[in-house]
Amino acid sequence: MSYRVPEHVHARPVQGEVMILDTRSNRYLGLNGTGAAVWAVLAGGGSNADAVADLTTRFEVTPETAEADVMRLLEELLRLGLIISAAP
Amino acid sequence: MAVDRVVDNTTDAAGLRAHGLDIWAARRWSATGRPVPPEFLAHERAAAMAVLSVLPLLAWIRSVLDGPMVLLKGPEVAARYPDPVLRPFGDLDLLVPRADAAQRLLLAAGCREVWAGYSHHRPALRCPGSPLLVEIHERPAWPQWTTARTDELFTSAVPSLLGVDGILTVPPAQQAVLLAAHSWHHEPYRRLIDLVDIAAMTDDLDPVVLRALAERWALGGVWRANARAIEAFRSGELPGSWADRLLGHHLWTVRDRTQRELLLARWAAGLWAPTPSVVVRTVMGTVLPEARNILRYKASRTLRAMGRSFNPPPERSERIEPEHPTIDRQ
Repeated sequence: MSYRVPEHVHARPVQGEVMILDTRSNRYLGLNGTGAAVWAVLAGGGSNADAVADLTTRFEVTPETAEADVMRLLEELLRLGLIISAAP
Repeated sequence: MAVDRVVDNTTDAAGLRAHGLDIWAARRWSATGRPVPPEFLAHERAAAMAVLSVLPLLAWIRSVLDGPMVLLKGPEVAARYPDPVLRPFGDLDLLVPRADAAQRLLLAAGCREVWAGYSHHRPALRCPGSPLLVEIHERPAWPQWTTARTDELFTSAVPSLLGVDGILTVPPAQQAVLLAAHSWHHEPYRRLIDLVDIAAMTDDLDPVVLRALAERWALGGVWRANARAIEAFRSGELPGSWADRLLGHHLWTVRDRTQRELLLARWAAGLWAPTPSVVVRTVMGTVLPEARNILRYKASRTLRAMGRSFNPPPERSERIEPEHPTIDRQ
């Protein structure tokens, strides 16, 4: 499944991290380097499998650990409405 | 590029911060493997948050206020940088025809006043959910001798680069001269980032047109001084004029101004007025009140000391008096 960033959410990379603003809740969030890598894939229309593959090539991490990290972050982003399913 | 050269050759973090170039340094140093002070990174995160906040805040203000609204400085200038995060700002300066009415409407919509106002803008507002402040201006901050009028700014306004419906800004030439005037209004040769701002606005503009506009607004002297400072900054060589060297010494050495330098610069600001009579009036109007404050301060210290001389000495001093009177930075 692929995802996209809703219109009320704005993000900006900063030194390998990402700052995110949700204009509906006026909430600001920061993602660290790993989170920023996952965000870049998902916000670019990639799937969670793409994000796992990206993490395993960028960082010294097993596919199992990368998948667990991606799914945990994805659930949180979906819960906060910072990312939504791109499915029609 | 001049900014890269300056941040490469500077080791004084406080100096870079004072001149507004710390985020530029963070990017450059990070790319070249030089350690980046944590406070630079924190400032960059805050600047990114400010950039993210601009569009929602402007759209919200637009929904509250009717009528023309001209965005000055800050994000409008940052939009001309390679990345707007490189040009930090903490507020939105909005020029409106009826500042008092606009201020009341924003207060009624949930904003609250957080800082005192000045003659040219109402008290700064903190509006719901935004980290940015809003300053409603009835005129830009400019030297009192200028012949520029806000009517001209409204009639020549163009859509803002930020692309928010109904938000205007002044054309680049006016913005550049206003930036120079604003910097001078605070103190001549203020910060390197002020020079970078003006350079970013004027890169593709005709210098003759810029000079003509500055002359028409009686800001020719201010504009020429800024142009010389930008040229010196670009070339990396000291300017030829002794006044530029003396009053801009903190620019060429990338450090914060001392209190004495600051006072001297404020007193000297009027020297760039267009006619001798305006020079005298402006300089005296600046020097006399400040000199009176200093004399009053010294006199009160003397009287207090004389009063204390009749009392037995305390076991230890409870208060430390400042060495110099505080200088109000607007």
